[in-house]
Amino acid sequence: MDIEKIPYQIWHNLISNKISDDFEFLALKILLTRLTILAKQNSSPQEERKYADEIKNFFIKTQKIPASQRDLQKILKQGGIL
Amino acid sequence: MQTLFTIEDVKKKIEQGEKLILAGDEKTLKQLPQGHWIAGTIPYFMTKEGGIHDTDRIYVTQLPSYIKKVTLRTYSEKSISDIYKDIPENGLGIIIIPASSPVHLSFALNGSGYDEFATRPLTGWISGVHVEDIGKINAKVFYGEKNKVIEDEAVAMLLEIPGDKYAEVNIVNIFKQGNGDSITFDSDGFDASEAIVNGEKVNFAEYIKKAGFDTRLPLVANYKGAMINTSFQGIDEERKKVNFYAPVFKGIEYKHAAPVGDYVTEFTGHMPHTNTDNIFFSCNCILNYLYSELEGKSTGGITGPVTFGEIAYQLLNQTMAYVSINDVK
Repeated sequence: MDIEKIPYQIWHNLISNKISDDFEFLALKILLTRLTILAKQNSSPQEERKYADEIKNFFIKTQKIPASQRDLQKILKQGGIL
Repeated sequence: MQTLFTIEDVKKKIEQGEKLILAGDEKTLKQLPQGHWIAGTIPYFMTKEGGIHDTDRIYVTQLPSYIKKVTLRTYSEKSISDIYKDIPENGLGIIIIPASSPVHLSFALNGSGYDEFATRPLTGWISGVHVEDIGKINAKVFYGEKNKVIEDEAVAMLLEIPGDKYAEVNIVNIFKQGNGDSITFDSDGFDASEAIVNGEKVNFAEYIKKAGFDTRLPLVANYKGAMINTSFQGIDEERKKVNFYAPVFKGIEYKHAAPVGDYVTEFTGHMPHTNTDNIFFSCNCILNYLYSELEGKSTGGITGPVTFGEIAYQLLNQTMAYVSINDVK
């Protein structure tokens, strides 16, 4: 899957807690907790874009790891992409 | 592979050019020759036979033979923010940080804001001392390539993993949030005077005394399903504040942990059931060792140093951290 082509709205919904699931990958759980708190504290469009880009880059960089792949599938399913 | 070795055996391994991650009493580590190793001080270990206090032998983690490229380096309070960037793209970082050093405090408070945080696997531990020496002797780390003993910087081993494999860091935490009050804090820190309990601002020291907290049980935060502990160090009665072994963070909701039964039974029940043969490194917390009286008790075959803090991307308390290296399928 080309993660770059996933719509921005999916990442935005993820950091805004509009997509949540029983995730498996520890790194995602920790990073996403931090980003959702930051997004709540700084909700300017620029900051939200920064956090959404950070979570997208996380998935690009960890796409080799099965737990990351499975969590991405869950996110896309909840986001209506799959 | 992880296990305890005599000083003579470890010397031989170093002289043969092996790259090692070591844990042991300061006096034993000081007898080792220069070589490709890093170490931290601690005299407690989990072995296959059970928890053990040993000041004569050294706990050795040997690298799998397929790992060819290894870099050792130190990190100061200033350079620690580079740790994630420095881990090779398909790699793994193992870091050892001396307890109570400036780099320990900085990593604990700021680590989640470092560039590339969580995109590359980082594990490791906080070195310590015998519990009777707390406050008398400083924890240390050793940088074998320069034969340096260090109190104020961290040491790390950065590994490049072959393309057909990947490293994954995980944790075993037997603690869960209890059904009690919701606790938040207005600022990040290793101590707190005030907390917001169910929406009401209170003096936290007075609150936990009144509520009758068993402070052997940590505060637990739910990080999207991962239970992350912050352990109580103590109550400063004079200053009316509570000290912790890891920072509490603004914006995170904490609850006091639910009581646990027998640690060993609970721990064994929480152990990973797949890929356990691929576990390359693990460590468990001194507070689990002490509070659950793990000396002589085996915890399901996963072994490693007993530590003053565990690292699985960020600093943890009362948790076992481990890393496995698995085949890409």
